[in-house]
Amino acid sequence: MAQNNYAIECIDIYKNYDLNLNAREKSAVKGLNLSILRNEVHGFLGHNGAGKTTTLKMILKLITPSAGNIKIFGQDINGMRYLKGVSYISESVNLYDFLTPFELIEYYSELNPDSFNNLNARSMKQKIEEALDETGLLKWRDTRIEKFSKGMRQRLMIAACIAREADILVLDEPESGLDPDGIALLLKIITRFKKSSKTVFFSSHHISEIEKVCDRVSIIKYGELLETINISEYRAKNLSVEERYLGLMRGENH
Amino acid sequence: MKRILSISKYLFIESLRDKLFIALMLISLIITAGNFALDFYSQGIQDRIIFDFGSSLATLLGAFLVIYLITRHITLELDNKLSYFILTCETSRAHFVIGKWLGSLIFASFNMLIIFLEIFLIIYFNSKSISYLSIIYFYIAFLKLSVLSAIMALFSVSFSAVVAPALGIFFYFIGHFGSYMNFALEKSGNPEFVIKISEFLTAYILPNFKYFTAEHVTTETYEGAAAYLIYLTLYAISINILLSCAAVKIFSRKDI
Repeated sequence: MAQNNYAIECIDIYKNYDLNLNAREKSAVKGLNLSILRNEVHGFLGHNGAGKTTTLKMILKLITPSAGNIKIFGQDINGMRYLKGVSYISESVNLYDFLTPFELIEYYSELNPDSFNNLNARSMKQKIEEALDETGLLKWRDTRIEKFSKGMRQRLMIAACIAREADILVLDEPESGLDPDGIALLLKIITRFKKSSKTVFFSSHHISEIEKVCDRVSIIKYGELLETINISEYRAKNLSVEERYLGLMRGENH
Repeated sequence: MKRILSISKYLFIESLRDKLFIALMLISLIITAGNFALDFYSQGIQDRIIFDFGSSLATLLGAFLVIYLITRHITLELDNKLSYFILTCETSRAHFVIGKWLGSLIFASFNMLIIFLEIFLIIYFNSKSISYLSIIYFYIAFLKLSVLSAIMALFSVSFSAVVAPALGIFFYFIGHFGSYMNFALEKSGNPEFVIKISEFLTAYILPNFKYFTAEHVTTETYEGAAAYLIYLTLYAISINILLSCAAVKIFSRKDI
């Protein structure tokens, strides 16, 4: 059987929210078609309220599209009880405050037995410690998360994703709360994911970061896809993604 | 099953580290032990007071814990997006709801067990007798908590963090006062069909917590008491299955 080239496919998806005001509905996403190739880092840009988080939530099966289909590695997610091989880091940094970082990643591993290949306790411990070390959290391994700052919590979620090594990494504005060191670490991890043939789908407001690590960028406005840009082509033509993005936001088509 | 047990295990660990629950537990233990100081009663009456008061306190603490824990670990986790941590893993919505339901029930029952153990020990050292009734009543109270936790699981996936516990408390009280409600309806001259509907609702449709008392066990013969316990177990299992399936079904369609 021929292997599907796409890691994620969104086919004509819509999401309407009932506002309960005179039976009006608001469409957060309108007929979005988006294809994320295997082994690529794909950026997702848009203004606040453009529908980025809604799209990511639909991909993660947290919300159901009003219409359309979403496929992960060619399989329709509607027929799945849960997603396999997809890690997620959200902009929210709420974690289980009374657990320690080590326990949290251990918990994460127990909830993802397929990704962790049911490792034995010793290998698991080693893997968790390596991930904590890489994110600079090893010395805090037995400190309760309640004492952690926003940035440390974000690093902890990155550590969990490093330990899991899922095939697809979905990030929703992950740099919020991170210091410059944290952002550098995040970009390093994304590059490492790409080198190990993983797929990264990355929503952000930081165009410079997106330009640094992404292969392609999709720009969304009011729930509609405006354009997908190939970064290397833009670089070759000496064009700026930022200028193009701002132009599209102003309503310029060409 | 492993994922459900993991969710329950970490809910239990988290709750065990919460100072609020430790404080509640200590207060309940001190109040129960305080009855030991009632030395102006005869020994039999003192044992009875310790048992009645202690077991009521333990059940009430268990009910509070179940309502609080399920609201906190389902409704509030959904509100503050903490649930994404579990729901974006290789876990289904059913794993989430059942794991949280089970973890809350185990933690509340664990707290209740400690108080029952205290009652058991006080009675043992006070009158050198083994209180079998405290063991049976712990089991009955556990069944009662399981029904309340299934009700809460259903409400917590359907309503907000304010409405869900309020409804849970309302049903807990209605479940105890169903017969009084029927009596009041009858005395206030309502038509017969209203009374019949109310009797049907309180006996079969709404969970009837009045069944979960030690009264029937103490007044029956051994066979009667055993039959009653079997009936109660089946009643609790059926309500649990029914309500948790409804909770999972509703939650599976919910946008988070």
